[in-house]
Amino acid sequence: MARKAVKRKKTPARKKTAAKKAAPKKAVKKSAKKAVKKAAPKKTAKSAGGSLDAALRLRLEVEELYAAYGATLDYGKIEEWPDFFTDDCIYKLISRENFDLGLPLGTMFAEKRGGLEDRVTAVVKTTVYHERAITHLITGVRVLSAKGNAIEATANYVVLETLPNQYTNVLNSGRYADKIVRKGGKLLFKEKLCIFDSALVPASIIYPI
Amino acid sequence: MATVLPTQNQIDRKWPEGGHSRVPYWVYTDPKVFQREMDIIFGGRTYSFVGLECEIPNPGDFRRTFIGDKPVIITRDMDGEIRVVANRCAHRGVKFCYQEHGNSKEFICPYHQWTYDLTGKLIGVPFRRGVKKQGGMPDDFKMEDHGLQTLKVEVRNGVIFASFAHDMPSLEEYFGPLMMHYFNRVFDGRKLHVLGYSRQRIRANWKIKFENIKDPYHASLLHVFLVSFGLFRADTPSKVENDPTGLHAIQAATRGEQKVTSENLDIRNLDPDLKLHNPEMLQPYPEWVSKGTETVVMHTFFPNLIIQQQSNTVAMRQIRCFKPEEMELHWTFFGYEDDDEEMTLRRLRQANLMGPAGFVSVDDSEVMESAQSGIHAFPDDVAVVEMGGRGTENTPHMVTESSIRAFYKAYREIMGF
Repeated sequence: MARKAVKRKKTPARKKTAAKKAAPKKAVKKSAKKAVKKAAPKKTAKSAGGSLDAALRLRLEVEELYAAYGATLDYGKIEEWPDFFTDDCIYKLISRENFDLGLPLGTMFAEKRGGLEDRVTAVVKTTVYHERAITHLITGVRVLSAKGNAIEATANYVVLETLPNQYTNVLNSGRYADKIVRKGGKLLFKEKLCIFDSALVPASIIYPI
Repeated sequence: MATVLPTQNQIDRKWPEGGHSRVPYWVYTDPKVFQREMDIIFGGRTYSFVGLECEIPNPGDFRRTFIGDKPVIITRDMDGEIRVVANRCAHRGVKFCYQEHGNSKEFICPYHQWTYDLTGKLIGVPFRRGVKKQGGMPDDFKMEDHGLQTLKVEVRNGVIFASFAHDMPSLEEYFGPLMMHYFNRVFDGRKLHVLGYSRQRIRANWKIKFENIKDPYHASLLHVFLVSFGLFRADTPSKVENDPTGLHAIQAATRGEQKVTSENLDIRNLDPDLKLHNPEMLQPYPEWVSKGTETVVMHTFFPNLIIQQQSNTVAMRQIRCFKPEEMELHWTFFGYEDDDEEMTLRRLRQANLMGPAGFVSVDDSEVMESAQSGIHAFPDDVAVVEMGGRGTENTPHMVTESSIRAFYKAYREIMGF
């Protein structure tokens, strides 16, 4: 108890972000209630700055973005996949091996919305492959920074794959390292890096991760 | 109790009637055949691709790789010489190298700390003289008799090959003038730099992959991307050339137009309306014009290397195999020292055609697994390889399976079938 007290005394001296992290639980509850009442009607830039409710709201929005993204790929709506990106986006699926060595080669590499649409064309129209089901499990979502409309976020992912007459297998696992922007009230990926753990992958990766 | 049988290398298989225009499916499924391949092909008198010189630029650099199923290490010793040694301790067989790549002055096996220099020479054995005058190696234990197994190494224009056999002819003699001509076309002495690796495991025998690149017949039909955009198609100028041994070959073509004509009506996958939303992906730079009219050359260098040059995407594809009905393809995509940023980006964009998610390669991986799956239960059935006749000649077109026939003619001799 004594140690906690010492820490509490120190926090007020730090600036907004540090105070938010170090704030004791009880204090959070109280102030959060007040803040919601006050901040909701005003919606000023100031209230969005460092307050916990704004940070939580953003995190929920980003979590929702990831959940919707995964569901779109998992439930066969791949044509809608490009809708999660800005027009000038970059998408890259890259092995941790290449990423750590600073080597640029991606297993998938799409630039601009058109590049993503070409990947969609390949999946729905041109490529020969066995039908399969995939399931994204996206977890550990974190907002790393938020400046104005530019957000940096990360999450871990596992994609399970089920081929005909086979048990479910792990197709790909790793982490997202994303740059997100808010456009017209909607969060969109401006840059999406999927850095996967196992350099050795099963025969084919059909769907984007 | 089970009886220990004497080692037998007898394979009770007979090649079917029809010579090399027939391939029995047991070559893709029989564990004994696979074992013989590992012994006398990958472990025998062949040169296998093991890496690029630019992957180990400095003394002490090393990288792990495989020849077939055999773990080896490529390294640059302290004198700057390229060496290839077995990744297998001479003491108890431990695959001692735990890092995929790195830099070190010596290799130390973690089990009993036997220590080797980068040439494979044994330089340290703990407790060799015993502890407190107890134990230790026998007096006649000679360090020089217990080095790592070393391989014969040949380096040409930045590419490293190795062989478990030391009495090998030169690389030029082994691959022959035809293959060296095409090798030098891609490796003209410019320094290389790696753009990245891609690695995939495919449930198909290794020869199905090797044949896949000796089979232009399929490429002109299966791949919508290749045929629609004219990247590789039977009605465009093309050719197939086999080296005299039959083991190695090239297939080449010149890019054609995205147009349906009376000559390509059979190609149902040619989609005249297929359009890229981001055409940058396939805007090739005429990189090879000074070396001929071909815009794509696909090479098979027996036993473990496919060199891919499609437009501006160039890669080594190394075959590794650990089981009869499964193989791994390890891709090293690269560029050249004089590439500018735009050229590098072009190569990275076009790499979308290739690899485990490649617009073209996915078709192959999926079909190869289906081939293995189809033949698995029928080892005594046979494949028919008669497109373009029954011979093994070179052709000024790609409507042929002559490279596959040439390969099996040579394969039968090597394997004694």
